[in-house]
Amino acid sequence: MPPRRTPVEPSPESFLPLHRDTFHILVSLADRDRHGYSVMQDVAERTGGALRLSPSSLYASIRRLLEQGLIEELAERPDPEHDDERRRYYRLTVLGRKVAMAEARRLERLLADARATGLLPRRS
Amino acid sequence: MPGRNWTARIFERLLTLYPGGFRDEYGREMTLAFIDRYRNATGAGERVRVWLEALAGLAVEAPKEHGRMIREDLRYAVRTLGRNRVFAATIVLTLALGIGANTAIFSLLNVVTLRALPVPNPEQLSLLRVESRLPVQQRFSWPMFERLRSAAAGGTMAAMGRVARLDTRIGESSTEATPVQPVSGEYFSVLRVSTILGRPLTPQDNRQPGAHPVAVISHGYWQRQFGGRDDILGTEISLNGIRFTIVGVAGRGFSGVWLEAPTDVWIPLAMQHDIRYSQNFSADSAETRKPWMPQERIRWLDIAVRSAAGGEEGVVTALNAVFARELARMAQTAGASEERRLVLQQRLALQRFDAGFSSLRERFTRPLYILLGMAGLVLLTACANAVNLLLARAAGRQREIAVRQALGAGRLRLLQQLLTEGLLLVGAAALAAIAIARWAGDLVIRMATVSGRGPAPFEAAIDWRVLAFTAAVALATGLLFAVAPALRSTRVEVTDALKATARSVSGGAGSGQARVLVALQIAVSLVLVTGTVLLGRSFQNLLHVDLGLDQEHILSITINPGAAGYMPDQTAELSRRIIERLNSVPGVRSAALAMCGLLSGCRSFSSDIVFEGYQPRRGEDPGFLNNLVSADYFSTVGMRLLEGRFFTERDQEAAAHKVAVVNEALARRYFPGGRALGKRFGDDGKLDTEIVGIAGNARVLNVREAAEPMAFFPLERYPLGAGTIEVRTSGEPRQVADAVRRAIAEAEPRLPISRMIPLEEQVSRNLSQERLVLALTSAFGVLALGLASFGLFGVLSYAVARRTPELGVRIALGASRGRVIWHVVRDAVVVIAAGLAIGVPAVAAGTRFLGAMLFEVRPDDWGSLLGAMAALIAIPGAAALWPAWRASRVDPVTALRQE
Repeated sequence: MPPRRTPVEPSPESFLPLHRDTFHILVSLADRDRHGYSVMQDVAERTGGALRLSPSSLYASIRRLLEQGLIEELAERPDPEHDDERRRYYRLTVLGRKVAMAEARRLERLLADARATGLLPRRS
Repeated sequence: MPGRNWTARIFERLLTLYPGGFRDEYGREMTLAFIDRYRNATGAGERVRVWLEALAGLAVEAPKEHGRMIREDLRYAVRTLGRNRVFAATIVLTLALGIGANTAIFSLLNVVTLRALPVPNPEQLSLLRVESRLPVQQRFSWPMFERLRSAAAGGTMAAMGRVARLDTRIGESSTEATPVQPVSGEYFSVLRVSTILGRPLTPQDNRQPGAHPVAVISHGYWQRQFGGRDDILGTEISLNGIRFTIVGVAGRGFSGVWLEAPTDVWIPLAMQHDIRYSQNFSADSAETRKPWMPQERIRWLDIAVRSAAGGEEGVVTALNAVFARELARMAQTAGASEERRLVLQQRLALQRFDAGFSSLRERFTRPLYILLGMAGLVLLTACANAVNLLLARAAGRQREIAVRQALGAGRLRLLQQLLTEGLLLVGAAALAAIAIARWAGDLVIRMATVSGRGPAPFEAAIDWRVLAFTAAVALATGLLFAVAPALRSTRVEVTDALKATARSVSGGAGSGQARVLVALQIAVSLVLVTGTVLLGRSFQNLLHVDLGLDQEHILSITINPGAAGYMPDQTAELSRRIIERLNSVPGVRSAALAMCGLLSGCRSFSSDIVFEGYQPRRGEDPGFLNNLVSADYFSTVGMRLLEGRFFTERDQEAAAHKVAVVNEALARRYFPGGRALGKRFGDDGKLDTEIVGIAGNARVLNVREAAEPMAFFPLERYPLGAGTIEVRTSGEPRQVADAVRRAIAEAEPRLPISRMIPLEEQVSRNLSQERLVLALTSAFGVLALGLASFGLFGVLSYAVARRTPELGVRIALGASRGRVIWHVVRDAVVVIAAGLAIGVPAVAAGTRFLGAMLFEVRPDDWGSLLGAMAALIAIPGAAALWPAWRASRVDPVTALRQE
């Protein structure tokens, strides 16, 4: 019998650096499960309208994130009273959360570097 | 809300830009998100912004999704085909042969007819021609060029002679003869060819005969002969004994205006007399032994014109204004009023010159188009095989397809996948085809050009046109051979296919469709094989045509006494010395000199001749081909004497009265009943030459064409010089070649021999076009026949494999082996008969195109058709025997166990 390969979970670092849109989507799913429009709204609010995802770029990212196993689609609707039942909801997977955290840490380190060199003012 | 519906509908319509799979999965979600976004927008400006963002997103993401899907399909296709390597390789090879045949022929057509000269704006170039109802020479004298040039803007007209091969010495060592073209000073500026070293020739280099020994050499010659030395300028090069100083090196890639005679050196026209250039001219009572440049009556120049787009008409009008004055002068000397009228009607016109000169173009364009048609037929048979293979596999894949459909793959998605597979195969085939075409193209050019042994004079480069053609053919092939099987395999009733065993699935290579395809292949093959047989017979006829000469024992030698310093009137003494020497060579029976060699391409024509007792028709210009020959010429080349006598030594003497020997065609053309003996003719209205002999017709110019009226004159009487020695040998001409060469060197060590070739070989070179067409047609015929046989073999094998259980039952029930064999063979007979039935009318339609190329065979020759039919019964029939035999060996027990 040929040796069977067990699937190895990829390391979170192998996904870095994340695309801007991707990181924002992961961040917006960090505190709760959301449907597509909710993600768009959240991203727009958090960035003060600087980043507005179009449906096309949002769902292209969602498809990729699903394929990579960073998010998953929910079977149940978490928010039934104020939603129509056709909507699909997405949630971060364990891997997705790890990846988002790794990216956040990477950015944090960059920020620290910028402060250390005096590019940005040191935090008081 | 009506506004919302309307917005949603537009957005949904736009989503069709996405691949179906993606749309099915996310389309609804995207629409919902968009509508939410739109609903929450405040104000018209915001709503416009939502729209713009959505459109921008679509424009970016939809193509990306398509690309991703194609990559996925390709990966899948590579995996699938990798598991069926033999299948994939068979299809790729089959299609590569088909596409390669087309690419090879197209690359030849491209180089011969489509490719332009490598100069800036070649479409602005034209060649000046005379339009006339009289048979006029399409060449111009230098004084006429000067007058025409004065009518056109500066630097827009250039005159040029033809390419001549001149004996060359560089320093102390002599090299092989160099192709040299004498040109006017405007040549480089009109063609817009610049020099990478030194300067081009200018009008200053062309003012006085003999005064400008300067030369520009080609980039290729510079590299080959001088190793690309930087200090080349000022170097001397001796051409036919005259020293020229190199003043420039032309830009890379430019090798003159003749496709099959790449030019290495350009010199001023003014040097014509010094290098003893004397080809492609017509002279009318002119002094051909003096410099040609000042002479009005020697026409020897082609004129190239450059005119900006739309400016051609102005140029032609200006030139015709000058030309009209020339005509008025010419008309004064014209005899009859009818002739005068025709002279005055002549006009100058411009003819396309963007691709330069090519004799190959004239000879091969039509055959190449016909061959391209044949290659197309070969591709069709190749496609038919590929389709059959795909259909057979489609039958085997029905379960896979059904499973994938059951798992939710849409039909369109599956179709796309199968098409990708097909296009991948075609793509691989197209790449292989280009390799095949490169190899075959060079082979064909070597066959088509006279230089049968050496490297081809130019190459059939694979340029963007060839690539575009190949891509188009490949795409058409892909659609033809991949779409039908793909459509068929995705039209599956899922439940039926899943329930069925692989064996009992219907369709596939054994089916009716496959048989129809094989029948069509046979029909196509019949057309090609019949064409091959017709051309083969025609070629045999040409090889064995009676030339009216003793072609088996003649050695033709091209010489250039001018290059050895002989003036034409010194030929007599040289001629005698050479003949004397040659006659003492063992194996040589006789030798003779002549101005023009047999089938050598040299021709000379006399016009405006008066014949005793002959009244020309209106507008007729009586004339004949002529040749100047030494005394033993006729017996040496084996021409038959019909009446009178051939020349004697006495006829060659200057004091003797003028005599000529004419051929039968001339006698019949100009004398009633061919009774020409003793009659007189001459030019300038004088009947001063007596016909002393009538020779049998001989094909001295061309193997294909019947002899034209021709007259022979004593060589020594007319100082035009000898260009050839004909030697009659007692055995194989090649065997005495070395001895002949030595004997000529003994008679005159300086005399260059540019060519020595047995007449039989010359005949065969004369048939290069026919040989090429025959070789390619045969290759196509064999290929098509092979493909058709392979197709039939495949169809029958598949049918036998599928019907093994049935055959087992038959055998178990007592059917004899012979009966089982007949069962399979009957299938083959039906398919072949159907193919022939379709093929015969197709042959009738197709061979008409060959008519012009056939020699003494009619396109509707029944024997050829029957021969081809016999081949098409025998060879595919043989291919059917193996499956039939295997069917008869079916073991009933094993067969029934399989069920």
